[in-house]
Amino acid sequence: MAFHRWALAALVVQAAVFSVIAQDAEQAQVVAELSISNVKVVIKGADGSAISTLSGTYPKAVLANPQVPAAGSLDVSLSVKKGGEAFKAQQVMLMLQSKSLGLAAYAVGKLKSGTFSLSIGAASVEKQIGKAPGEYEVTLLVGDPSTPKGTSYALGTAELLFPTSANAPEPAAAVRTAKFQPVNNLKPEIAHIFRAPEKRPPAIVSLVFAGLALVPLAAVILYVPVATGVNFKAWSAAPLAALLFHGGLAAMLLLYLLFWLKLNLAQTLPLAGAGGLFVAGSGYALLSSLSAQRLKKD
Amino acid sequence: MLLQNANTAERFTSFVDGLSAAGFTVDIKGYKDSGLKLREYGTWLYDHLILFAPKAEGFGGSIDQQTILDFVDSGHNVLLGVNSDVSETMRSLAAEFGVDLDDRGTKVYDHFHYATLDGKEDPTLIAATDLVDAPVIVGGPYKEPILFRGVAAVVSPDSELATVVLSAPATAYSHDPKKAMLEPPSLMAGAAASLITAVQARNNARMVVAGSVEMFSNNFLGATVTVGGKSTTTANKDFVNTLARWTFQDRGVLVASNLRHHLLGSEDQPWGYRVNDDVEFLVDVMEVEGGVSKPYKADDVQVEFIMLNPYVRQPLTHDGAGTFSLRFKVPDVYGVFKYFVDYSHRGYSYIKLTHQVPVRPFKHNEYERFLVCAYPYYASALSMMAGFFVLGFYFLYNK
Repeated sequence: MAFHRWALAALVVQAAVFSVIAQDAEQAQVVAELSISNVKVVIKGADGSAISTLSGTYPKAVLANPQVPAAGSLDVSLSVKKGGEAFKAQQVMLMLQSKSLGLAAYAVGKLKSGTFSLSIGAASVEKQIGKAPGEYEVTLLVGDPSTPKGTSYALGTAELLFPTSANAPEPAAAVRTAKFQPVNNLKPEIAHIFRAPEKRPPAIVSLVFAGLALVPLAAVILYVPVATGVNFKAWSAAPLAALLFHGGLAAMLLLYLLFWLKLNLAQTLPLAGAGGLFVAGSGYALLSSLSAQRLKKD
Repeated sequence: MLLQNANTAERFTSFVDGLSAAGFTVDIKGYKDSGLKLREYGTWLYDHLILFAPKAEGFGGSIDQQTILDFVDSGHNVLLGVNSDVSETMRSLAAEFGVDLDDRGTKVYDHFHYATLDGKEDPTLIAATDLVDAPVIVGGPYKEPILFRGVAAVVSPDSELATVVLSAPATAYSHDPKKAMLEPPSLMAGAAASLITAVQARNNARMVVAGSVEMFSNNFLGATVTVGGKSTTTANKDFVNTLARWTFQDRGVLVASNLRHHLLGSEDQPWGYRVNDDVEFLVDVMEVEGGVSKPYKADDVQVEFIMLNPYVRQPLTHDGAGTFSLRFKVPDVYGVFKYFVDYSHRGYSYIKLTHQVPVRPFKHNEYERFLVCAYPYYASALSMMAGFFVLGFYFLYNK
């Protein structure tokens, strides 16, 4: 019993409930009121067999949150009487109000041999308001234009189970009401994820190899004079030309450095041209004075 | 304004007076008048149309359904009121607007939330309170109910343009007493039955379909009714006035202007960007009510930066004076992008703006230089130069 707890919200029986009991009897009304009797609530399983049967008397609630299986249904049958006689009320509806969504699904009663029967299941609720498993307030609504007020019989609450499909995406809304409709067309935010910069080797590796690259330079500076012997006396042969030549070479190398750091090709080429001519000229002068010096020695 | 019968114009004097007070000139005619025209030699004679002729099968003069649809397509607004005697012409016009009215002969009943007018209890006189949460369409919070007697409609759940303004109470249903009751979901019951539906077309023309023409009549506007044993007035007067003003673009109109963008740190609008630039995008949005512009304040305006797919979609922040802005970093993809603002908020006109912006890649001299991982190469080149210089000495001056 506790197992099958229907959380069907009170089925509002709009069939005018007979208020033959006490209160309404005091009203001197020419129009008789509707009364509900023989209310039977049956919870049916997927195969149509009754899982539990309850009978209620207006206005006591009869459902204590039983579960309605996914392919089963909640059936209610009742008789509506007006002035003591069986009466075909215009509205005999079952209203299931979802506690999670706030929307309501309805079932309409069919009259057969004096008894109204209503049936509602998960499939019908899904067609009306979409998939909304959970607790529902079951109410029976009974009304007719010929009687002043309708009668609502809160039957209690029931829980509707929906068939769960493993890969069911989030369903779109199945209904529009004043309180249940989109307010704007806001879409999910997108922030661009920038490409991660490429990974660079650790600085120590680069520094070590830079050091290795400088080792041959050290060898040249330190070893070559030891191996071959440098005689700087020959400098005095043509000191100005030597100074100019080596200065010019240093200037060209400095120009290469400046080009790398700051200048562009258009600025560098004219300077390189001028510097090159200068170095060539002073180098010729130096070499000729050096060779003249060598010839003189021999 | 077209009425069922021109002689019944005095039923709506209160409503018409409210419109005149809001600055509208109302021209009242019967729907069958022979000289009716909306359009003359290509220009429209009227700005808005009120159709309170539920039983009309055809119109007099030169108006027909196509003329009314052309009227809407050219940006004008229509307020349509029907009742249970709605004709097929009116139903198909409402269907063209996107609203499915129930069949002729059906009435909305509610045996629990009905109103008693002049001592007569009538379950088809609904006292409705389920208004949409959009003060720009319906106006201030109302304590009194809104009286309604007429026919219900449904709106397709995936409609992008329609809004349910007034829903029937949860205990209501729509039924033709001469026919058998339908099964839900074809039966319009509860809040899914829309009593007043508003549709705003993509050109911002507004159409409102109200299932009860009586809701606008003097009887209901000034009535005192009994609901649930308590006596109360109705909110119809203020409600229909606000609703009509919204329909005729007197409220809730947004004007977006002055779209601009610039790089952070400069005020001029560049022809385009470079990847990874920091930029700011601005647009001014004003809300117009009764001809007066005031700054629009909302937090849900988004801008997209799109090249085939949106790379950036962020909300704009406003400064209270109507300027919406966003600062962001241009993606590291180059190509031709566009700014795209597509704003649709219930009750306000749509804003759709696009602006193209090319994005170029880095120039050859905009990359990072002098990286630590290049030090070995720098060292080898420099050592080559130094070695050459030194060797010059050794070469020339050896023994």
